[in-house]
Amino acid sequence: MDDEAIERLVRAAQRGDPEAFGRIFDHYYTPLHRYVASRVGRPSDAEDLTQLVFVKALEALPRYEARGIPFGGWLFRLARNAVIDHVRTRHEHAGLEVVAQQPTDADEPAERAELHGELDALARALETLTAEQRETIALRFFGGLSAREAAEVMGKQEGTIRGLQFRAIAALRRALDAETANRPKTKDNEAT
Amino acid sequence: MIENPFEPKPADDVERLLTAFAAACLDPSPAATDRTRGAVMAAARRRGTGGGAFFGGRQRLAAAALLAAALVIGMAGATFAAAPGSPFYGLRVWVENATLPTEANARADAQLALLRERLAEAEAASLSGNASGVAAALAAYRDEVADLLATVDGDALRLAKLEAALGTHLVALHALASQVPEQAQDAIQNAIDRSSNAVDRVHESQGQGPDASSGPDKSPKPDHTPGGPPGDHPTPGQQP
Repeated sequence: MDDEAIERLVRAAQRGDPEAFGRIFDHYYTPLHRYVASRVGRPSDAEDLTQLVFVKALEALPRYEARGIPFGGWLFRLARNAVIDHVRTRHEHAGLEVVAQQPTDADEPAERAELHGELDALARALETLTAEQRETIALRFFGGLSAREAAEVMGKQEGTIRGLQFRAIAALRRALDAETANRPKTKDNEAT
Repeated sequence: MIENPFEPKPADDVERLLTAFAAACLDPSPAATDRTRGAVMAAARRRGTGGGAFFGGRQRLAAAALLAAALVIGMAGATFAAAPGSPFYGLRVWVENATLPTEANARADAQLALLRERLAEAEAASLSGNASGVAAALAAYRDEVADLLATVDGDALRLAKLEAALGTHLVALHALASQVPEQAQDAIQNAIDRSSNAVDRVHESQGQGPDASSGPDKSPKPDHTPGGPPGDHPTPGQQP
């Protein structure tokens, strides 16, 4: 769905069409949930917060005016604020490893185990990023936002977001390479 | 095509892992999706049928403008209908004076009309036993007499008109003095004094002494038509 179609749905929802809001929900629910889950960790919190964000969006929708700000950026900014409030009040942040427990598409147990290991390694690597790098990754790769939308959400320049992403990917690659380098050694150790 | 190193590359191993991680670890379960969608859609339907909750920014502005206009109109109505002693009476008197004509003769005539109106208001308030209303109307009367004196000073025709009007007013004020509630007696005496002094001032301006007038209190001329020059009307003791 392109930006123009989204804006049409937003205008219809502002006029009081609940089905239009339903289509907006369907379009944004999964990426928004992914973003929230990556920030709060616990699945039940992610579910509650995602619902809260959509209800807040519903309340704030009459005040939304496009004015060059994409709707996705506006919606994710609500989500970011909700996450910040949640973290501030709970004073806790579950590690991303905790959520890496759902079944994957890999059929074979060996493949599944390998992918699970890679995902765990990635979750640990994500924890090594700075807060801004992690946020950039969450918005760009989990939320599916464009660099412009992510910049809007984080209140930064688009170029800054691209720089943060570049450094974050590089840091993740280094961390994963280090894990890969250590893995055979660990197996060797287990074998001996 | 030049490759942009900052754009996500689907083939990149890290980015492939990130995408897999999102799908495997961050996706909502079907049950969570159903629960959340149900709750959100219920809220959307409540708001949709509620109507007003979906007012956009422009509609809210228009509604606020309508409300403001209604308030202004309501206040204007309350001001122009304000009776002496009511909260808007002072504002009404101020507006009436602020909108007087600027041309001297027209202004003097309008001020005389306002004086008559203040007197009529005092009489009406007296009839309804409204002492504060009598006092407010007579206070406005006194102020307008002072303003009028300041504007007509030096013009024979306007002075003559004022003298005639004040003479009539003094008769009315003396009549009113016997009717008004006790609390308004001071106000009416002040108004009588102010009118009498004004008559004296008029006579001085016309080159006559204060003693040139006669009557119940500085010579009211009851059969003068208000606003008409004294020479046009018979005074007591004169034959038409």
